[in-house]
Amino acid sequence: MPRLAQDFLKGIEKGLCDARLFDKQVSKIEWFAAPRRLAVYVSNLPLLQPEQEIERFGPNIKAAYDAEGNASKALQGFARSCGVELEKLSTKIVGKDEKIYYQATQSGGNTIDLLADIVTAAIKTIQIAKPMRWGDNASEFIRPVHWVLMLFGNDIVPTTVLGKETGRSTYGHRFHAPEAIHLQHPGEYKDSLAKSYVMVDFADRKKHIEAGVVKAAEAVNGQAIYPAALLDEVTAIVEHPEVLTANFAPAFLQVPQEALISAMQSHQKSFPVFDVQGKLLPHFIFVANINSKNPKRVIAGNEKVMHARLSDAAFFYETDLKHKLCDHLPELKSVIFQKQLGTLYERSLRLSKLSGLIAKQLNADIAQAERAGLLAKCDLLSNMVNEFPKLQGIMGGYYAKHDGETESVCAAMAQHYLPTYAGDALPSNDVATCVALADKLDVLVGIFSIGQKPTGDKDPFGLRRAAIGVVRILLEKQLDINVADLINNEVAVYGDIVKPETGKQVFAYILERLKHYYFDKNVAAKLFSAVSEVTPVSLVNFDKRLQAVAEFSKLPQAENLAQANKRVKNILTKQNALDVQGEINTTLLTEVAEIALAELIKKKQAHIKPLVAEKNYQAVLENLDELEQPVDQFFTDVMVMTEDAAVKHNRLLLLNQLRQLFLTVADVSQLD
Amino acid sequence: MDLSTKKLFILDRDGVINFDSPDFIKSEDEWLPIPGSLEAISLLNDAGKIVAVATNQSGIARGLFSEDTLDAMHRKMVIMAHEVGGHIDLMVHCPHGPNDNCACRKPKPGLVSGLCQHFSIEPEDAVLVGDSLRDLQAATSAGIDSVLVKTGKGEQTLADNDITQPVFANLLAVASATVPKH
Repeated sequence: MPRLAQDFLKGIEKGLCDARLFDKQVSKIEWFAAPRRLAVYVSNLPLLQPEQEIERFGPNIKAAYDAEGNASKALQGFARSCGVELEKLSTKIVGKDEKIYYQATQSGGNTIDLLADIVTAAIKTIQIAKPMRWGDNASEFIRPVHWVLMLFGNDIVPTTVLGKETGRSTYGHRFHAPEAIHLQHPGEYKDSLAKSYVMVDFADRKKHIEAGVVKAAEAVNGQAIYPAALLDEVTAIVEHPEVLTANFAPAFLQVPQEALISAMQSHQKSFPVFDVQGKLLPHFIFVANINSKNPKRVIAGNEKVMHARLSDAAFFYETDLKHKLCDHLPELKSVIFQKQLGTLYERSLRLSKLSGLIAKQLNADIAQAERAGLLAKCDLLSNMVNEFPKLQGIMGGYYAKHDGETESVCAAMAQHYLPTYAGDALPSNDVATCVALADKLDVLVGIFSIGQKPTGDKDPFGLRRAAIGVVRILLEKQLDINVADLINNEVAVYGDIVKPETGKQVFAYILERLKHYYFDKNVAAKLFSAVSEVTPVSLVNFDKRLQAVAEFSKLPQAENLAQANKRVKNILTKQNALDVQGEINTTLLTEVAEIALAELIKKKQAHIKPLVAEKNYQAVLENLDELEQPVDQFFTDVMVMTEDAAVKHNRLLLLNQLRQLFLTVADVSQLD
Repeated sequence: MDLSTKKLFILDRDGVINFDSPDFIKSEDEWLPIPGSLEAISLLNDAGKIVAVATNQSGIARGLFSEDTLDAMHRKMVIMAHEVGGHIDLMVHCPHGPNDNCACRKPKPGLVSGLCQHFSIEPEDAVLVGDSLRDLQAATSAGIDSVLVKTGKGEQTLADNDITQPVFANLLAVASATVPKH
């Protein structure tokens, strides 16, 4: 609702600015929104548009008259476009040219005559996801329009808006003050409505509700949980908020509290109350739109409805408990995951297999991972998840526990969708981690293989979220595993329905997400490019190299070495790759600088070998720093592309060896 | 301004790369490239330019589409660009609405400055290509040059404002001016 009103405000502000009626120093503009009204109030508008100086340039004087001194077509056209006779035009020098010139003062229109068009245009700028039509009216809006109030000072702005004639009347609270309120002046709007039981300012109303909810929770020694979205939603459905507290039977607390919370929040727009340990208390807070003489009856009414809702939840839970999760497996055969990718049953089999394969790599319990993968989607067929789709996974965790599955399997049920949003938690144990990775890779490989085109205009499979999940789990849990292999495993699990090139696409897509991950962490692009040139297949390894390059780039020698690497790279890319392979012939080394460089490279090759093996990339690059001087000397003293083919070849071999030293970590030429 | 010396090209999306709609581009089916725009990206790539996209997508804050849907559109853009040999080095977007007071929504300089910093490009080596006043304003606030294209809202922008920046017919014209023909 605030967005609609803000769009409306922006539209009116723009219209007024364009008509030169709005001056921020003089006028104030504010919006109001309540269930039955959207309003914009502007103070201190001028009665008249200011006068406007009009200045226009016409054709060059040379083109304005012919040889006989008669007005040319161009000049006549210009005069016509200005709507004046020729004699009203003068000339003015512009730069080197003299041009025909028209100047006039246009008097401004009456503000009141301009407002109707401004408001009509502003209404069109309000973005409405699902507009409604009503009656045989051609206009459409978020809801049918019953009245339109439009005043400029003491006068009605006469027009028709969304099929309604404008007037000076509004209406108060539907029950407390249903009769029309006639306003003399727009300034009375907020106060008149307040007297008629409408708190028309959205922010005021929201603050009032929030304070009421906090107080009500304290009164029962609890804490209310009120997600911002729910608070906004409640604020948008009441005009006269009255915060009340009610109770439900403690017996319902047997039902998993997530289910009770969902019932309270999504069905009843109520706020649950918790004790200090985060345990649900048998109270709920709701906001009535009426100031009742007998609040007890309002509370009793709400308790009755809540009882019915919670009974439903309890019934779903008890019914679900009559089956084991694994009993749902056969039913999954009749639920399509995606037309070309088969049923949820087939997906469950894939998840099981892949979870097991990942478990093997992570040294997690393979049997438990396979079991968790197999059962992960079973709760989708439970009554509870059917009613509250958001509880997918969470209910699986409860049901698995009831079935006597191991703690790891239960955690995997509950956590394999994680992370679902930016900053969300990651799976807590290694079995859950395996299933979470498998779940995401199954979606990525499957959807990429069918040409990445989800049906309709949505992306119901959330490829982006899946890829971010893979990146975050691997990096933040420091899982040093080969992602390319992981993807290829999944490609193999899919079998024939997946094209072989899909694996590469998925890997590239995950790297693209990794790029954004680093962008968000303010890591410079050149660091990412340097590492991605050597395509590490483990993201943890990627990160290790990236940190090493970041440290290296701070060293004083880095700039020269980066430049040298770039120079070497440029020389080598012009050669045939095979030409630069092979052993260096030491007898062909003649210059002092190249002998020194060759010796140092040989020494370095031996030095870094163990460091590369233990993946201590920072030490590798620090070790290679010593090359700066010798490389510099080499390029100063030695001519690589010399006439003697054998010597030239030998020098190219040397440069390639130099380059390979750095490529054990990254392509530092990217730093240049 | 000499376009050929620029290293980083920051492109607005709607109205520069693809056709714009006053009702937002809400799905990948609605995402249709302006003829020549993807080829232009490829031309810039071949000339060794970094090509990035910085786009306001308040439709996300308005609940008209999700980040996932936006990503599906961008995948389509990436694939279509690939088909003509082009690639986009980084795409960033502002998901906020006009009243969220974020630092990234153009005309604020956040997205543009962020890209310059990320690619370690000095402001004088970057240029923004946009079709609306707020694109050009974002560039100015970030201290980089900008050019206007007449596609999208460009003609309207040109008619409504005193534009001092260079004006081009479309993105392909910008690329052609950047990369001299052989």
